[in-house]
Amino acid sequence: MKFQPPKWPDRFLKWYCHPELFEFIQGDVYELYAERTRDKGRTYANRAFYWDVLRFFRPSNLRQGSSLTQTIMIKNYLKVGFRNLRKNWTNSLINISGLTLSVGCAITTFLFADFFFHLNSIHENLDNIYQVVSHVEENQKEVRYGPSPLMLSERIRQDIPDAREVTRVQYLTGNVKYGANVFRERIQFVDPSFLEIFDFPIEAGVKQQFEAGDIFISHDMATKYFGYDNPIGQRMDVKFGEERLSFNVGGVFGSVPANTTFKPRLLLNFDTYLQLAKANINWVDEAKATFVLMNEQVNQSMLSAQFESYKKEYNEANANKPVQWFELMSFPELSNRNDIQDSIVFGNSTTGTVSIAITGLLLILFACLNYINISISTATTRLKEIGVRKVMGGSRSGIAQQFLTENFLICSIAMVFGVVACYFLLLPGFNQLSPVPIPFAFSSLSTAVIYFLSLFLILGILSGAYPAFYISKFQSLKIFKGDQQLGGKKYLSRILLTCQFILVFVTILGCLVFTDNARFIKEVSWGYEPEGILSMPIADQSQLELMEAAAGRHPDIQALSTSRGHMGVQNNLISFDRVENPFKVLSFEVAPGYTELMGLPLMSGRYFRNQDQQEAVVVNQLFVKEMDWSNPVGEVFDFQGSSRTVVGVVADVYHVFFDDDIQRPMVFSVSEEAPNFLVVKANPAKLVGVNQYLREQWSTVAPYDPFVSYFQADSFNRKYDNVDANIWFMVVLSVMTIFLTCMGLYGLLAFTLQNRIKEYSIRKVLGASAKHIILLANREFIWIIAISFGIGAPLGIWIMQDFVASFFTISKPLGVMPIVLGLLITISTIVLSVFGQIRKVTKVNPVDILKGE
Amino acid sequence: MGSSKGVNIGEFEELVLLIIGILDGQAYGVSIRDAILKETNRSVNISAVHEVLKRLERKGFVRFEIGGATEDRGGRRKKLFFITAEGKRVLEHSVALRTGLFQRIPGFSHS
Repeated sequence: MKFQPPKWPDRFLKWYCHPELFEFIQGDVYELYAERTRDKGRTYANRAFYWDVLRFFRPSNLRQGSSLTQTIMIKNYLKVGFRNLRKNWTNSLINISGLTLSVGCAITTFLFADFFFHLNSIHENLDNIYQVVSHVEENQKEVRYGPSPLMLSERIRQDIPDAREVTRVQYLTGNVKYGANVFRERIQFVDPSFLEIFDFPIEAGVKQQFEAGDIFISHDMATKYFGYDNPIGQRMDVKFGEERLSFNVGGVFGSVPANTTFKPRLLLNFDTYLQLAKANINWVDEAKATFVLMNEQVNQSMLSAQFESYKKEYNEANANKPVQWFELMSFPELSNRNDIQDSIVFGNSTTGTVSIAITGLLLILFACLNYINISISTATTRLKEIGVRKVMGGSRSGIAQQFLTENFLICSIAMVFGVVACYFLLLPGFNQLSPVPIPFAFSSLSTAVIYFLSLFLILGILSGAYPAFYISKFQSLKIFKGDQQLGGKKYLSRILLTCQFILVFVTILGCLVFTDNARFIKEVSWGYEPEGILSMPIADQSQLELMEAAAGRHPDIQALSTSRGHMGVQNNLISFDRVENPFKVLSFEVAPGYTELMGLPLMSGRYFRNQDQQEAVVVNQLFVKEMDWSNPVGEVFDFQGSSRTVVGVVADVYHVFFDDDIQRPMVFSVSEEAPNFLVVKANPAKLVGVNQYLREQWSTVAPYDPFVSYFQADSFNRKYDNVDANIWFMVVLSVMTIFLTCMGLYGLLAFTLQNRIKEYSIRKVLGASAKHIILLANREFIWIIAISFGIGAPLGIWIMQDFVASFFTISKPLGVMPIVLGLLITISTIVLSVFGQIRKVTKVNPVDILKGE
Repeated sequence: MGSSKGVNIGEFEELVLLIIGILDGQAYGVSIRDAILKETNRSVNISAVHEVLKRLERKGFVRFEIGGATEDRGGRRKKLFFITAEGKRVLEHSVALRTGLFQRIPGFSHS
């Protein structure tokens, strides 16, 4: 033959095709193959050949013969399977729920991994989009920063012909107004090429016409401000600080898929930013990010000389904070990293995704192995059935087929429940913790089909193959003689169970230690009293003065002050550039009453007085320690370009919640610049009323600006929520591991009891007590649990101490409570899960067992 | 099979039957498929043609003979189809029915 069609489909055709039809069908597909190879080439012909063979695979063309009896048998297998499900309903329940759990987890983890591996797939040129990331050395460590100087994008545009498009991105907060709708929003400033680089769909308006006076808004924003009206051509007012500008709505973005992590909301032209911020194109003023769309096959090394010269120019202009190098980081890498400081692209580290995927696989593996144990031990009750089937002429493959069918039956039930569990329980739970909510959706239909099919097959074969082939090997003669022994010593199962119990102790103790610490953190003193303090950010000076006057009139307000930056809400971290060992300090410029109002405990010296000028500062103890002063009050130092004198020292307080820097050196100086916060203190019980009063006043003072206020006691709330989500996740994880493990224990115990029930019966006849028998049956499990506790408990505590330290900064010394509680929970669950079986052994009448002999 | 109920024939079946007639002794799977493509510009899968042929054969409208092998077919023989008398009658019936109905549409000019 001149044209040789692909081998595999050809074999497949031969396998399924009815012999009478085979010759003509094969002849026709061969002929078509030859024809297509001549006309359209080999690749096309191959593909068409596969398709043809697949299309011929229909009932009327199938090989007949034995298939009729096979269908009858499958019906029989299914029926027996269903009966067995009902008969051993406890076992079935345990099996199905265990598999359901692992299937649910597997689907959830897959959705998670699928989501994160296809981030931002909406952008066609994703792989060729780069952000310029600068590497800076800080404390002997290289740190990546997202922002880059404005001059850089200018130079890239001029010097690098392979850079097709360049855009700068910057953010400002402003009050956006349309009609009566006024909200405070974060506004993105971009170059028009932004819309060429990123493929955000446009719902209305023209992408190419992004003019200086235009604002492009997202679909959500359009609904928020315009409701059902057509926003195109309308004018929106945006107020930045005291400057009010008006923009023409030029375009509305369509909705973007959930896996898009970097979304436009309100877009203005970058030139507007330059005017507003009075920024210049030089090596000092920065953009939050610079994105470059490169031609394909351009790599970093081809441009290194160019970037080396940029680095030189940059470092000449910024001698105090030189960069190591500028890196072009591709967009996919950006979204796989979470270690870029000040990045505007959401990043999620791949290691996290991978480890979660591995967890999912482990769960499946455990569930399958448990299932194997249980199904072999239940098979002992069916030995006679197997024997009879064999005597009646059932082949080994037939019996294996029967067990596999039953197994697939259980798997399909578990699959259905697993999907339900994932949809209603696991995924929503997971989303509590995930930085972006993951929808119940696959990246493509084929992914979903392939995934579910392979999950089903893996589950069915992994859990069913061993029991099926093991059981079908039994000889009927041995079965009837009663000689059939099940399994050997089952070392593998025991080792596995030990591993599972170690995992149980790790997760349970970890969870308890974490919860213990979280509770401790919530109760720990912040160093000052946050209750009763309310703050309002107000940028406009005249508004601030009016509000200050209004607040002064309210009887419940005990004290009020103003500040620039505000502890816990707006922390200005600046570097204190002294000649040796510069360090970072939190700097607050405040009105004289601020430190006293905030209730910062005074350690020495005094608070500010009204007549204090700019040279007077109050510092905290950490600052004193950093400066190595023994007698701080009266010390003089240079700070922010002028000489300062310490008038008072306050205690260290927690300004943010358990980040790396829960405490920092702080400097309070008397404000010279305009303040941007109004802070009031009132009786905590009256604070809500005060807030309401301020809101009403605000609506007359500034009808065009939204009212924003912060309760000081709430300033840690977001972090608390995060902690709660973590606790929830760990609780779920420990419940799942302990559940799966007890399933395994149940299986192994059932196995042991089944094998040794005669021995126990004889012992009983000879006068053994129930206690003795219980001890005997459980001896090996007691050992397993003891060993795994010995390994798991220290491991769990050690891991969790590490995690807690990275999470909370301040942690509680380890107490006895978590260990005792963990042991108690585990043991009671174990007892609960084996209680039924043990009871059966002690209650059973030895006569019933032994009379068969 | 005299009653009109028994001679029911689908649109695609009718097409294949007509093509078999046109091909006049050279009708087998691939040639029928190619002819359909040529005459009606309809691209059908070869398996669909086989399926219809099986159905027509069962209804007694076509019969087949085993034909010669070619090199392209890897030495496999062909099943050559012919219209039976029954098939011819069904075709005639179907064509007559159609033209009869068509001519009764008022306002159409029939030349």
